[in-house]
Amino acid sequence: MRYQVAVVLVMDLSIEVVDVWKKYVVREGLRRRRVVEALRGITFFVRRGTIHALLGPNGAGKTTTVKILATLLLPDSGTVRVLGRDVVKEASEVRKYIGLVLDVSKGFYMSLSGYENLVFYGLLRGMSFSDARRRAREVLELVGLEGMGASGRPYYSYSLGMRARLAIAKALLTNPEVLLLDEPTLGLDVESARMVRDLMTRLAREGRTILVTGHNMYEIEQIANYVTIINKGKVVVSGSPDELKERLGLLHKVSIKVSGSEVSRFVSELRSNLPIEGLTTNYLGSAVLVTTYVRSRREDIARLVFKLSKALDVKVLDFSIVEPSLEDAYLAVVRGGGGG
Amino acid sequence: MGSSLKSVVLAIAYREFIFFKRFFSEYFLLWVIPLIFSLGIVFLPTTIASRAAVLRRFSTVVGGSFSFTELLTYALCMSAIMSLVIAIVSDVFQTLHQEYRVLGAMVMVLESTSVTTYALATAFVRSLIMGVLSTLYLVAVLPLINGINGLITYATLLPPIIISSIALGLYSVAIAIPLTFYVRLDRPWTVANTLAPALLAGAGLYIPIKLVPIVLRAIAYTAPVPQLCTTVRVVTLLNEPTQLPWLMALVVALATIYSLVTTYLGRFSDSIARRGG
Repeated sequence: MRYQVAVVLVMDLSIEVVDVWKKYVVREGLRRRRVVEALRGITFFVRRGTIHALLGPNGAGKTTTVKILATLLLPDSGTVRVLGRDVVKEASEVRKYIGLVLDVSKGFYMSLSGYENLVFYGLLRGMSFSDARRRAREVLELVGLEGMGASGRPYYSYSLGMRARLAIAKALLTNPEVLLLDEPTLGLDVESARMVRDLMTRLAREGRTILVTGHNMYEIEQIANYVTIINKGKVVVSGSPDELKERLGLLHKVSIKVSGSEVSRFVSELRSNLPIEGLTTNYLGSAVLVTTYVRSRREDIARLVFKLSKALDVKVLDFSIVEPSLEDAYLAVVRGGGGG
Repeated sequence: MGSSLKSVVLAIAYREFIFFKRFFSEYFLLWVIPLIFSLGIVFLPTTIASRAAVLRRFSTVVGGSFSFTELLTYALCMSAIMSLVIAIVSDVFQTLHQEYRVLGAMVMVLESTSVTTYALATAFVRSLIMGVLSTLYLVAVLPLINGINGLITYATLLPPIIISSIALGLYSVAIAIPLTFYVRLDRPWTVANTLAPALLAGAGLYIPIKLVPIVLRAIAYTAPVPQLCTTVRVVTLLNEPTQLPWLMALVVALATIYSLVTTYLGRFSDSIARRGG
């Protein structure tokens, strides 16, 4: 742990979460109370200008972490810093630098319009009336609500997609350096979800830091630079999507279509030189389709295939290595009981 | 903690202005119904008895002698007090509860300031707006029925109305905070819908408070409504303005107690909201 902290201290960090614990007391009826351990010593770091995904099954502690970062919840113990400021001791300072999306389906006054809700929030955050009105128009334009003619309509008439856009507009209103987005694309249609993804990518390119949670692994894989998977309140694994897959030693699906007299030797050499789990051969006329699962880096697989084909004079007609997805990595972690 | 009080006050004032514009018809009804009730309860007896008999009955109950114009002024002012109590108590309670339990809009507040600052600002701003708006029609009506004296009556009543409205707002917040943050109510509107009529029923609107049943009186005395009713009676019927400073001192004392309770409960609620659970 000390070593990890020492390493990341030299980096340009936006968010530091170190050994954070959080318990809830859930009231069940008048007398019964149940203690839920939401976070059990989680530690992770988010670098400036990156999109960092916080993944985990329901109840893993993602929303609790986001709420602590947003100063909405107090941790029981541990250190949480945003841009070097402690979220407990310097909460009001931290709030100046963060934008939050917590629940895209609610969080606004039903009878106020999107524009009015944003102006109210801007005033609440200390903006002048003219600044609040100007910024409200700008962010509504940015998220596409102005173009949809929805900014003046009451919030209760908004679709889920419009509500999500407004939630993101609210998060951007104060032009924050750090964005905390809890499941921002939950339940959105394809177009709205893509808009949110594109916006996140654009904002990260502008140098903002984004911590995003979600369950859509394909989406996270597309946008996230780093991923932290938590389960049962503990960090199970952290790193870039590629690093995670590699670190978890996930299987690559390898398909090779070959022809030549030494195909059987080629196959046996593959078996003896790669950590293969299951191999099938299908004869397609003069060619042979070899399909196998290999627990190895793709560069090593490719190098060996081409080396053997050259050495044994086997002709490679087709060759593909299908990488494991982030979803595979996630499932491997969660099903492996990580964190338990 | 977080945004300054000025920012919070500005935000609430903006929101209330929008709400008022959007729900003007509802507020209008809130003024008209008590007006009909108040004028009816005072003057409908003239359909079964003479004007003099009605005046005599009121004089006996309230004490002192007064003219028909003064009684009309009193009825109009009482109508304004009813609107004011209903608007402040129900609105403050329901908005706070809805923000935290239903709409999730309290997140905007918690992101920006503390529950205490927000609750106190709500009590002040909303009550001030409602206090002035609920009684604004008196500016036009009182001079119409009593000339310059009507205007003087309104000017005399306005400061007590504002002070009492703010005290009532603080009272409503002090009730709303525990019911919003500490317990989960299945039908929260029941509290708001019951509290305002209970306060009015016990406050002695048209009879001296000592004639009100003790249970209702006890409920009414938790809020500054009886003092406000006495103030209206003292100014419009009895013409005893020397009693005003004492009555207002009592209301200010009550407001101070409510503020202290709200501050204490607000801090506790903030901690509950930020601790989770």
